[in-house]
Amino acid sequence: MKMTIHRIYLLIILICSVACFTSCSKIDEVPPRQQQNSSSKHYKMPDPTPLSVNESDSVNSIKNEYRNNTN
Amino acid sequence: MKKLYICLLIAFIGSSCKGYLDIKPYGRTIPKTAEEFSALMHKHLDELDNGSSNYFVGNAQLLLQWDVECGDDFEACLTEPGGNTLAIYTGSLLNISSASAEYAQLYAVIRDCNIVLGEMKEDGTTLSNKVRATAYALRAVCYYQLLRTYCEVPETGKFEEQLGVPLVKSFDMEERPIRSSMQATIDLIESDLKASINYECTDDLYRFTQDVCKGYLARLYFWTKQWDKALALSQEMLKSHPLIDADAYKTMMQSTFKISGNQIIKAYRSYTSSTSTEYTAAVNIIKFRPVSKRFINQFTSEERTTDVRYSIDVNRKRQAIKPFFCGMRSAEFKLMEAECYYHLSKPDEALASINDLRSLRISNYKEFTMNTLPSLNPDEIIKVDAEGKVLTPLMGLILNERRKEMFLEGDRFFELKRNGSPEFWVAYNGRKYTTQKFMYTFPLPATDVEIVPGLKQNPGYTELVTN
Repeated sequence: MKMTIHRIYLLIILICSVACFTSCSKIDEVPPRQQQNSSSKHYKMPDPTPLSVNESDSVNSIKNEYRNNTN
Repeated sequence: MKKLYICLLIAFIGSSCKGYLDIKPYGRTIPKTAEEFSALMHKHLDELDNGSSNYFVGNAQLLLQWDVECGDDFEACLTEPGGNTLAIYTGSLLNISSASAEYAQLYAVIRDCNIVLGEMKEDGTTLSNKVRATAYALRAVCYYQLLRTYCEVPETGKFEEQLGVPLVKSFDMEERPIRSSMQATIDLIESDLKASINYECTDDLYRFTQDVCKGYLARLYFWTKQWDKALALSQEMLKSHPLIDADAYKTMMQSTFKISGNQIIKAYRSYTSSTSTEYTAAVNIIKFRPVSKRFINQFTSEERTTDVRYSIDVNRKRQAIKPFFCGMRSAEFKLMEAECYYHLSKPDEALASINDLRSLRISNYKEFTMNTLPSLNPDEIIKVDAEGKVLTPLMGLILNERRKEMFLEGDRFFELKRNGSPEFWVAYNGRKYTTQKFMYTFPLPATDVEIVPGLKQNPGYTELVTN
């Protein structure tokens, strides 16, 4: 009789432990953190170029026109 | 013996699964009642009202970006020292790691809309209907802004081949979708707006009412060149929100913090200290970059005294003085009507629409006829229309009118993009900065491209550099 009770206890413990170990398949459901290396990166834009003589003249004429007509 | 068994049992149970009571999402609780879901939406509506972090309708800082920094209505080479913090041109904005802030902010709003649409029970009560209508509308508006900013200009007949944006339609933290087709993006925006319209929400407290959604649907059709659909909706909007005369227009445009006249939705309806700080900062800095002569020349010398818009747009020093307007108002639909008529080969009706608008802005206005149309402005950098055809005097007039009417309303950059995406340069400190065609379509965040397998970047963005 005592042996049977012990076997029942052992069976219960076995069932409980199997259930405990297998019931929670994802103990940490948070997705793995990615290394966000690019958070401080940006895409390179073309570098500015020096103005040509014609372009400088055109910019100067814009500035002169503005100065002459708004002061 | 019994005690030993009990201890073993407790030890097994207690140590087996440390996360068994964890819930998802971590650190947050999904709302349960309609009131709680409503609060989630009102958080974003509050952002619209006070102008903070508001990328879906826009705020003064965003208008500075689109109009003063990216567009050609202002003259970078005349920038005074106080305006040093203004970006020189579009490329300067893309040259910083925060270039994609708008992208992240819009998807954050979409996430909250997805929570509402996925988790809130549709119980048919007035409150839940209003909240669902708002969630559909907000999600659509966010995707519409993403479409305009991060996708190339839609080309009729190629929507299936062109890239849209990644579509997230449910709340799932682990979902990492790649880009949809442009057609799928357009379809989602359209179905969301129609779903919102079907709820017939007219409660202004929820801001994105039925009328606002119809307005956005018209904008969507217009952006995607579905001229017949855009025309029908524009006319419906004009019927419910008619144009107003010059005096009423002036009053409307100068009421910064109150919705008035035929304004349909706008930011800054609640004036708080943060509103004041953000808005005032934009007003102060805009003075340091004068409006370009090219823009001034859109008005004839006579119109500079007779057109009400000129007097509220700029002062004698060519500083922009028009109050920032971030929202939607009727004049936009009149301009859409004109352009839709034009593309539908109805030039007489197109001209009539433009004459209608001009007669309400210019005193003693004498209508244009097909024979008296002004010739094309040689300073205008737009050379082709939205269909890629060379500008005619009538189309030039329509675009010119739009440029004047929508000045400082975040429109010009997208007008340039829509009409041929012309390349142009500005000068600053002896150097030349060119806005190239690819820059009209902003890059997806580098982080997203790195961590989402298969996510395609827009053309032109290849070389990553560290700040």
